[in-house]
Amino acid sequence: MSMDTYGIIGFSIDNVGIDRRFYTGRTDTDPILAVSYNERRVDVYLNGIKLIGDHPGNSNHDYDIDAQTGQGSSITLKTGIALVASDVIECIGQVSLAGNTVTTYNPTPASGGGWNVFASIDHVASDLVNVYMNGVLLDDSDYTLDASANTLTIGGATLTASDVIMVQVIGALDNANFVPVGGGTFIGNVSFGDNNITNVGDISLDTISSDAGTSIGVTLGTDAGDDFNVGTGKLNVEGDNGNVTVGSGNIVIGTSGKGIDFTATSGSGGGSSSAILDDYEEGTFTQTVTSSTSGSTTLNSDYNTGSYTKIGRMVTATCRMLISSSSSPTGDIRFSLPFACNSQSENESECYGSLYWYQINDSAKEQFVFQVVPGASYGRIQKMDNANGASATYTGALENQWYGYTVTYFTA
Amino acid sequence: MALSKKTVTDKIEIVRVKDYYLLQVREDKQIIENGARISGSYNRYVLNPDHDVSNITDDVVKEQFTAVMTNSVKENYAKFLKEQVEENKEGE
Repeated sequence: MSMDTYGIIGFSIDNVGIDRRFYTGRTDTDPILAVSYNERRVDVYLNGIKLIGDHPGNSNHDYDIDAQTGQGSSITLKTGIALVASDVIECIGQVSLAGNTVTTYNPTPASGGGWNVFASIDHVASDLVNVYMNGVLLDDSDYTLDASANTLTIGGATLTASDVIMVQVIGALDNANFVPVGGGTFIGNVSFGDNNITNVGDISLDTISSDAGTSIGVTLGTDAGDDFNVGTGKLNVEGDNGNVTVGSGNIVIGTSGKGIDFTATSGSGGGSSSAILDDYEEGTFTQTVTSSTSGSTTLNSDYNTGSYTKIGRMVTATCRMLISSSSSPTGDIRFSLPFACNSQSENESECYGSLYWYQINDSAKEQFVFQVVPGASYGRIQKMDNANGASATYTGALENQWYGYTVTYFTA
Repeated sequence: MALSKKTVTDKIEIVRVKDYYLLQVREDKQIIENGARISGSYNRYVLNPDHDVSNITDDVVKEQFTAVMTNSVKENYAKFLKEQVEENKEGE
């Protein structure tokens, strides 16, 4: 024996629906078959032929319906025929458990209205109404309901006295998960499987989540204006050329070390940090001048501020300063920098920049550059060429003059 | 509400160079209106291991400096500076 149960789409099976069961493999006569129904309404088919039901006026019917409803209810066949195993018995019953407001009619034709017109179908236009003919749920186009006259008219068929019409008028539903056509709030999750939602107007969402291992795809057209637009122009992706425009606000890198990956254009290996632009910063720094051995150098506090811009690991620093006094400085003269300089095995990160020295009193006419020392956070003055053709770091005191430099170097 | 200004230390970076560490400090000079930062600019300075800790006014920076600049770090930095001087002499 096999058995299947089906419910009507949109309703919990324990609430409102159709209890449909198939029985096969029975070899007894007039068996008792378990069903689950309400409203004393069960249609029974034997090998596809509808049996005569226990309706008022049908004393010679083919099955009895017991008095119990819901789970545990049953019907008893009264055909007097011994079944064979290949016989198929189909039982269709209406289920409408407590808590809903389904009203079921087994109507009789309206007086003077013809066989296909039924009166006293008490309903309003907003009610959900199901109409069954001989146990088959009809399409809405198969009938017409008149809420003002409370009538039902079956169209496209000529009914006979043996046809059975059943009408379900479903008023206020107690199923919170049902959303009427007019709109409402749905409670619970809806899965569309791999199907689509089409013809969508506006959707208000908190989050969009993808299934594990899958991405959320947004397919755009390829014509101008086929854009994906967020926040009315705050972020726009153009379908025709792939341009991405941030209309307002900034692109914010939220994690240290992350940035813009140029791997595809630089030829670096995938994920290479050498192709990621991960930093940009601009600001100022307070210039100080110290000596490596002893003594001190004092700057005019109105002219001791430098500026820098850092792009990735590269820093460009510039400063114009006025030295106001010195106190026996000896050794290297060290100019503070905003970032420490990178240090590598062959000092290849040693960088040089231009140096300005106002009214220099240098009879040797030496040439000077500004040198950033690898591994240090300072620069110093380097003599490129003195009278003897050698180079060295400038030591000793500076004149009370204007100095300036601009240098680009790599950070540690 | 009137505008106000304040300077906060918004980033302290501990950078390892060779065998010693440096503290790279960034200050945010903020322009405040109704409690919100509406503008500002950054100012930076670097603290080397031989910096006089008594001159550090920001308590958090001072704590970080004290924690990082161990004797070993200071010795390694002093060694680096000495190497720079020796290198200069060789250059002459």
